[in-house]
Amino acid sequence: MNTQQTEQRKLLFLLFGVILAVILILELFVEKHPAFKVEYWFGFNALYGFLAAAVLMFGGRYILRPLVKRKEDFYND
Amino acid sequence: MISFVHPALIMMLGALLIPFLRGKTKALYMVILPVISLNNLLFIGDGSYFEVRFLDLPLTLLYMDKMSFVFGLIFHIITIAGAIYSLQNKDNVQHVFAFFYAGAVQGVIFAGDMLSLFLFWETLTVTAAVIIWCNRTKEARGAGFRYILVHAAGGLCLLLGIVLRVQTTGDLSFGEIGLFPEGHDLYLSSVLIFIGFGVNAAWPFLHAWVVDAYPAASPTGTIFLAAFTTKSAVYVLARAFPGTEALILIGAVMAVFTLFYAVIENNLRRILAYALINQVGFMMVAIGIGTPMALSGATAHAFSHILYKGLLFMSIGAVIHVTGKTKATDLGGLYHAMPWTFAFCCIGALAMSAPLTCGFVSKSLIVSAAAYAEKPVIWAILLFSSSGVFLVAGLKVIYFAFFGKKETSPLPQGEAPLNMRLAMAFIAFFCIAVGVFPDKLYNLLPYDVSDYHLYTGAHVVLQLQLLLFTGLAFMLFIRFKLYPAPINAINLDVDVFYRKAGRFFAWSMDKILNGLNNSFNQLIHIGAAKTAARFFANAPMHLALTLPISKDNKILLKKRFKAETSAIGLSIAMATLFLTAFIVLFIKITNT
Repeated sequence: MNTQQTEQRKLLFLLFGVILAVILILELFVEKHPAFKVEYWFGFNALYGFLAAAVLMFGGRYILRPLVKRKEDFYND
Repeated sequence: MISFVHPALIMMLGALLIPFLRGKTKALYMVILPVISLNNLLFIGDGSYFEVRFLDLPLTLLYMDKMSFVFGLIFHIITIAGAIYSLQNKDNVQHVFAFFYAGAVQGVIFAGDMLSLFLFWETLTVTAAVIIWCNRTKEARGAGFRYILVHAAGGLCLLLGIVLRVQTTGDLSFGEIGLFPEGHDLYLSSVLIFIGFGVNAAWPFLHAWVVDAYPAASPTGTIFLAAFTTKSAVYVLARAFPGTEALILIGAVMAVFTLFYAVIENNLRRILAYALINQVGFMMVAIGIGTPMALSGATAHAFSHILYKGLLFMSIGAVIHVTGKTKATDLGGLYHAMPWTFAFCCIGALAMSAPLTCGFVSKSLIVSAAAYAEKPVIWAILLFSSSGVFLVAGLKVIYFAFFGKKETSPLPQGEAPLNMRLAMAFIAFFCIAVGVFPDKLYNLLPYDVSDYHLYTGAHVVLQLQLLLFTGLAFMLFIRFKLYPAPINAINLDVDVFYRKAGRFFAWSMDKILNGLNNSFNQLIHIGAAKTAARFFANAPMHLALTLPISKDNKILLKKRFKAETSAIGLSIAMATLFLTAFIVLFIKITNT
């Protein structure tokens, strides 16, 4: 990877970070209509989305895969 | 005066002409056929039509109301897109059966009685299996047979339920059934019908056929498969079992366990198949909640899901068409070579739940319905699942197909054929149009949702938070190599029970029955029979030798027997003797 691509990549990550920050801050300016108490917490959806993805990826990697992984020719031996 | 025909008729009969057409005429015909059928559909007003008597049973072949119309409409839209998408495919068998399949699903949706429902239901199974076989691989052959077996079992369950119900109530009409109907002793029949529908809705433990069969079909065939069978099951469940609480649990399980599988799956179309079950789980939850808003949400989500899942299957199908590869381990870096396909895949991924797309419009209804019904756990599961399905069917599929590093030899380059791109553009248009003009869809829904406010600031911001931070987690996991890397392996699912059980059954039968066979062969055929044969072959001689004759004569007799020059009469006499003995024995046995 050349330096120009590295620079581009850095810029993209920076942009993504800015978008994340903006979307978090915007929560302060909208009027919420929560059905449940947790929705009053600032950044609940952000945290929940992050944790959900993390649980899935760790769960898949450390729990499900060791249980169900088989060789590709498992069914045609 | 009825000025329209049955919605199943145009496509099913029209399909028969396809093999006789060539080139551009055929292409034009295949696209126009579902358009004509759609035009016919728009002429049908609410009500019951084509009421006929068959074997003294009253049938209603066409029942139209708001709910059946939405399903009929979206099935037509995806048929048009599927037809455009498969134009470069030269396989007439698949074309014909795709239209049979598309016609049959119209028959299911508009059936007003359970007999015609069942007949069209079974037509779905047969036509879908042929479409799977049309990929003509060893994998497709096996998957098609397993598909037929699973659905035949489900179909029998359904048939038994229908027969029991009609026997008890004398009513053949198809409407609300409910799991615990009052008045009659209908519990068993209701459960049987419920499970029969559940097989097609890919309930947990009945779901493996989806991930087995859909990735085995051709890229074009999968578009039809992914749209019709599961969503027609959603329709019949919404009609017959609204508010059945069991469906909430069933749907919640579907919405969670599939995601873990999709995270570790290597085959991109299998990831999409798991995501499909996940989204049908959303619809099951909504039907289970059963409030007007939830039922409208289930209908709307079926509509959206057919669009964006169709678009995702189309873009990955295009990747397969160009590269011949379907596994994450074999793919990567295609965004440069296939910019259009990449863009459509992104729209499909966003359309699962991002604002301004169809998924946001429909999924929000279900999530809000769960919140209004005061079911916090279900609400949390749906939120979890929204994040998860974006992770697996959106981010993961896009990353491993279009970015990532390819480890194997360079892939064939090139963009998807024009017709494939046109079909994707057609569906992408609907994905966004529904998102921008949600009222257009909301007005079609069976129950009024006009007081639902979709685009509030909070709703948009919170949904974007959920999706963007899911994206952040994915990025960090990829960056720090924590994501379970795609590997060349398969993951066991519940189909192992019948795939391996079938093999174990065959193996044990082989060992037991053939073992028995062998030992009997040894004992009877080789042992007893040979001894008997030896005795009977020389019986005349042995018997003749017992006669009171001189020693010299005995030797002479023996020689003649050995030289086979003994009197034929002697053998005949012996045979007669045996026969007489048999007859005497026979008469004695039958008389006692």
